[in-house]
Amino acid sequence: MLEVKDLWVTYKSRHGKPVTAVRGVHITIPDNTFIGLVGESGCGKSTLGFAIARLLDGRRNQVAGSVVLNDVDLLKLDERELRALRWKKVSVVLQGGMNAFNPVHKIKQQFMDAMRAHGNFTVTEMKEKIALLLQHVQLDSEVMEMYPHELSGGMKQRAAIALSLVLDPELVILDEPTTALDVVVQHAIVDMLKDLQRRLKFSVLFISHDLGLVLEVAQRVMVMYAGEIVEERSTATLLKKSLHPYTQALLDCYVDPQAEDVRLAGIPGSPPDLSLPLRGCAFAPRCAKAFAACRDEKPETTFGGGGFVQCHLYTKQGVTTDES
Amino acid sequence: MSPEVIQTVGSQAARLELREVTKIYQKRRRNTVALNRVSFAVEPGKIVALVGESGSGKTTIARIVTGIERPTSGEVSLGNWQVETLPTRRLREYRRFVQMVFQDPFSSLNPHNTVLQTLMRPLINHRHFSLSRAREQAFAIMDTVRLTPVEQFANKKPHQLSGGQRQRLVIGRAIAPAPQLMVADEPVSMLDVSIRADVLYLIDELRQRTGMSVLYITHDLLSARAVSDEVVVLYRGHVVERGAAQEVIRHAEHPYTRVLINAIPNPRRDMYPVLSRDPELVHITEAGSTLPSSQYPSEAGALKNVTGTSGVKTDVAVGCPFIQRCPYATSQCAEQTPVLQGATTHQVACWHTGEI
Repeated sequence: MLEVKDLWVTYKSRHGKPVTAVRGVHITIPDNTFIGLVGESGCGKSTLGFAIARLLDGRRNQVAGSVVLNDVDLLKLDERELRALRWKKVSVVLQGGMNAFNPVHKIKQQFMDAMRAHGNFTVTEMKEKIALLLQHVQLDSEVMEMYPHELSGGMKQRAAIALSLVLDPELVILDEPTTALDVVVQHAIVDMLKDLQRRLKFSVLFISHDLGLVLEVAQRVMVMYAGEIVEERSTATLLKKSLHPYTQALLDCYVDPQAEDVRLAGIPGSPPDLSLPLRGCAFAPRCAKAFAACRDEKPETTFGGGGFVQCHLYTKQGVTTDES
Repeated sequence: MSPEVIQTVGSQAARLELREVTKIYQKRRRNTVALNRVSFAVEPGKIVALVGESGSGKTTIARIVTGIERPTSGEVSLGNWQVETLPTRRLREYRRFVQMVFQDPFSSLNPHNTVLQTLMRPLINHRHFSLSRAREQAFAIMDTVRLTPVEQFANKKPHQLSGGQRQRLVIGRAIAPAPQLMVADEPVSMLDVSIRADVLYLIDELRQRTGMSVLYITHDLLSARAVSDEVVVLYRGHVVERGAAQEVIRHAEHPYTRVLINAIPNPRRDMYPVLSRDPELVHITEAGSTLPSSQYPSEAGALKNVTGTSGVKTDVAVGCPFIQRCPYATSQCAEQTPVLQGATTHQVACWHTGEI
């Protein structure tokens, strides 16, 4: 289980003002759970993923709070201790991950590099493991003998996902893993990923700008806005009844293409500048339901309905769990 | 927007027509047929969506329509312009009437130019406006594409704009020369879902005001349904289904169109039953690995040397282009290439239309 407590990330810049991209995030990722993290570009979702995986340089960025994985605070580890945890406990797949393969080495060598660095395996063991992983991501085991340029973009991204599983991590963080791919391929990969997670029972933090896609694969969804998680609950509950006006607005962007009338919706306005201090609810200027308190007071987190929401609409009367 | 502005932004309506357009890229070992006898038209003032995944030939069509490339055979016309035989020296003149909007608003704007400069340049180059008139018109365009308040935006550079604002600027630049046709190649796929509608409806609004036609290239059938009058579905350079947007998307017949509809992320809708073999498993099969591929005659989908209508020998595929991914394929699909059939409002190229 991973627990993030009061996490703050500030990017410092020599030229501009510092940007606080993650603002006091509390989240829990239980074992064996596929959790989606959704938000518009610039909301801090990738920063949150990077901070959890300790990919941000501590000398340039200010990271405060704690990220506890099985009683170990990842933010307090030194480089050597962290190295031991990477791949084995937490691994990461990035949007351009498929392009991170070394073009002059066969796929199998790149898997073996990671395995040699973190354990003692014989070549036969390694090959068996690689064949199994490739099978998991629905690639032919012959792919291990290929060079990256022989694979299509989607195949490379599948291989990158297989590589992230090479040492059976407990948590895999995927940052927009299918965004650069074609729609049909994206759909095939996400289906594969969902199936794989259910079978192998690791945890997934799936970061995406596409709520529709996330709702198809994730068991739980976190919605992020302006550096904060504004709503978190199970996919099924969210689909039935989302509470935060931002989540509702995002959901309204998805329309059935086969409906009688199709009118696309959007969200007017744009997210706030994260280099400035925020007053009240960050979504208030774009929110159709905003009232006086939204502009001045920061909303408290309200628990209920199997999750939480951060919105003034619910701070007084609470969350009704009635889902009718 | 004042009537005077509409008039100066306005363009003449023109019909775009592609007739039997084939494009073959020659390689050392084998030719690639990027487009195979593609025919369709964009009526004046209409939006036609060209839909397909990467490699389907969408962008090749855009390149041919804009005169960047010439077709191997077939004809392309826009109003009175015969595009495929247009001499190179007249291309510049032609391009005033065909303007493009690209996918990436970050790389299709000059980072050194302000909004005002970006909008003034096509007015001066293509319409020979004086500086003061171009300036006035550029402000009117900013107002039209909602880069307002205009005084605030005029001197901003691309890096100071958000993704949606940048794309609106690109659209403003495209309408500046008063084109007859706008070719929008995935104009919203890099934008957040929350601002896509805004940009798409802006294009829709502009074609209504100016009467220009729009060729909207996308992989997203939902947005195609929302703004286009007609949809043309491409698979590997073949038109597999076309017709009125509502007809094609609500009553999709071709298995490939149904694959595309299933791929739209949306958990709140019904899916078609299993439709297709995994595209990447097919990819491996094609690369010659161990997966079984011999359930169809070996020549299925392979290139054959046949004599085309122009009398020139060209390589064209025999059989249905979708055969390797299609779960319904029969021997007929391997032997005969399906042709578009049906009423003009909805045509399908599949031997099993109505059966699946």
